[in-house]
Amino acid sequence: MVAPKASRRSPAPASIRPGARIGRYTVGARLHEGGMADVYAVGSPRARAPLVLKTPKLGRDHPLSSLMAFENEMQVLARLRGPHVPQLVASGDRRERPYLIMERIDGDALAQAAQHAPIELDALRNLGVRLCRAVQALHHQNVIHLDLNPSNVRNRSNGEMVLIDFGMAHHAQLPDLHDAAFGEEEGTTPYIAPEQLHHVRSDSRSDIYAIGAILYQLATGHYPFGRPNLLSLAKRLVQPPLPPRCYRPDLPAWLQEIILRCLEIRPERRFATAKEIAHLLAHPEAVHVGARGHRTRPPGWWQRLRGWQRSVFQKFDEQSAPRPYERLTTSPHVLVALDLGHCSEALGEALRRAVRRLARSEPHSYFTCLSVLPSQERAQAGKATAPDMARQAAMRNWAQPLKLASPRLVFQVLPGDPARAIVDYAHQHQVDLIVIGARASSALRRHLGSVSAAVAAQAPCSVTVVRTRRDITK
Amino acid sequence: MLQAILSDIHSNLEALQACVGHARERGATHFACLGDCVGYGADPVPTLDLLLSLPNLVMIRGNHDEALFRDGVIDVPGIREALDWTSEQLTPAHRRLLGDAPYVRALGDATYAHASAHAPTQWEYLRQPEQIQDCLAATDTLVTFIGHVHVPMVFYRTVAGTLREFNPEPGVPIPLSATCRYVINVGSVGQPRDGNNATGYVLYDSDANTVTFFRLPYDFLSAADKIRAAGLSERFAERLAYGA
Repeated sequence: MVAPKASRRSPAPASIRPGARIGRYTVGARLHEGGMADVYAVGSPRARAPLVLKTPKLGRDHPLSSLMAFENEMQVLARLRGPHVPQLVASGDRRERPYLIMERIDGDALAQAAQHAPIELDALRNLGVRLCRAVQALHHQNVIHLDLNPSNVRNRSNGEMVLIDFGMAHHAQLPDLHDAAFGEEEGTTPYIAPEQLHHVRSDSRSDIYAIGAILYQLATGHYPFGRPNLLSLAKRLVQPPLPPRCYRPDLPAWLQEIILRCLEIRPERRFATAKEIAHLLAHPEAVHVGARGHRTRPPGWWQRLRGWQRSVFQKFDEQSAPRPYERLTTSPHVLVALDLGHCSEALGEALRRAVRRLARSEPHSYFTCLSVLPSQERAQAGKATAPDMARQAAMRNWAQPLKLASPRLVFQVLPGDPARAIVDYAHQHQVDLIVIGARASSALRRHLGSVSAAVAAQAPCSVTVVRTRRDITK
Repeated sequence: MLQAILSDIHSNLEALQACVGHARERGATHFACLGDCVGYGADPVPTLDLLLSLPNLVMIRGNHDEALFRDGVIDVPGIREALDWTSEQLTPAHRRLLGDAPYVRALGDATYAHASAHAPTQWEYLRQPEQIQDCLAATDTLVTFIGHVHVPMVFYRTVAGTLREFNPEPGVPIPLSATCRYVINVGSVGQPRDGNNATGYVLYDSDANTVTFFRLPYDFLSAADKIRAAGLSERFAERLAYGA
């Protein structure tokens, strides 16, 4: 664990208002006035990027919970790294005048899209994948946001999503400052997960629920449970939302399947990780569409009665909840790099054995079989060519004895240098493990170089190099 | 101020050296010892000498320390003999260090006690919410550091009044919120009892308002051998291996 970065503390003036100076920062115009905090633009001659200042509302007219939410945000933000959160630049003494100065992120593509929803399918998939990557990066650092909604998701100019407002967030390695006894809201009504209404704050799948609610909104232009009010809160404890296809009959069944799985009442019936959602949005053919995906009518009276009956006894237990980071490793994304043209029967079998073992020991694992075509064999980029299809067919043939159902297995052919393409794919799709065969013939290896060695050296994750005994002793 | 808070050393020199060395490497300029410097272990004299050499030391009295001077504090067979054996070896400087130590002391944002700031001579084991509430009621500082139970733990009361427990992770700085109040059990240097035999202490940064728990491997085999060589109870030597 990284020690918190010491943020520079500057003496604060008695009050923060436009024109006030805090050390070398000048407070600019107020950008946003919220119930709990105000946000101002901030200028500094030395700042490389635009900054904002956030300060909680204090005093008799404002709840103490605003100071607590602010302090929570300061603690969490100081411990987060990477492009998917705003960088914390400075903070003010909480006992005098508390404030945070952080990177200003203006892009609001998701909020815009939510306003103009329903949106095109391609745009929805694109936004969904980027949102899931940002949430995955957060869970990877043991933090659950617990207030994901379109206005808390910004984007950089390169399109990377940035999550903001960590007032509600939970850091699994810190004492939780939030207290239900305040009677404060648990999040933003349309996006709150059922277990949050039971004051459970330690389940990363609450964020998965919010992703589902955002995707629902983008797809239909409606909130999953209608206008935000007490009834809409109560409804989510007893029944699934109206199927999105009721609003948009042309919505593909696979997308409805993804959205409704995110919005399952029980956290264990949702996706375990945001990465899985991103994977399926990018590979719709891998979605196993069940009754949930095909539904076009609201739940019948019998189903509603059953849901109500279940909700009476429903418990959302948070005893010894796995930490967000721990949950990520229970559903690994495995990349199987296949070079079937240069692969002996024995090596093919050894690779299958390795994959079978993984599939059994990790029931929630999912696999991408990847074959790389050197560029010259590929006539037109982006279009399936004869060699492409031949590779696909060869991989399907190889995988057939594994008997892995389609949602767990997809096939992909990419052009380019094999090692580079494999490593790049692993980066882009946040692969957890690469399984790759070692070339059998040393002459061939000398001639072509060892792809497995290059992959093992450069991969962002663990690599299992599979070799047959006969190949070693030859 | 960067302060290393040590507790329940119990004459375990190897463990104390590991903690002090680690804290010094991290820049600790102040030290606190929450009592029970002696008992169980075989190195009372070098342990107390090392404590006497520490800069800016806040010294608190524990029940084993008190038992050196008063009858009736500890009558458990085995422990009583270890204390008598210890008592024979102490110099006047050692006796002053232990004898002058108060039960409770408040300094800045922190209060230091061995068992509890509430009724400190009862030598309670603070585990129940009511006990924590009593301890908090007896102080007005942000944080109270205690030992005695030999298990590291953070108890805190939120501004809305709810009492919570938090199991700290070694090496992860825990920020202390001004909206909460804390009772922090720093664990034990010389005889951990949470199933992990690594020695433990806490670094308190009063400027950044954080506490960090550390657990360190140390030469417990030597410490155990010395206990056997001194003819003290075999059980004291054995438990160092298991952290029990």
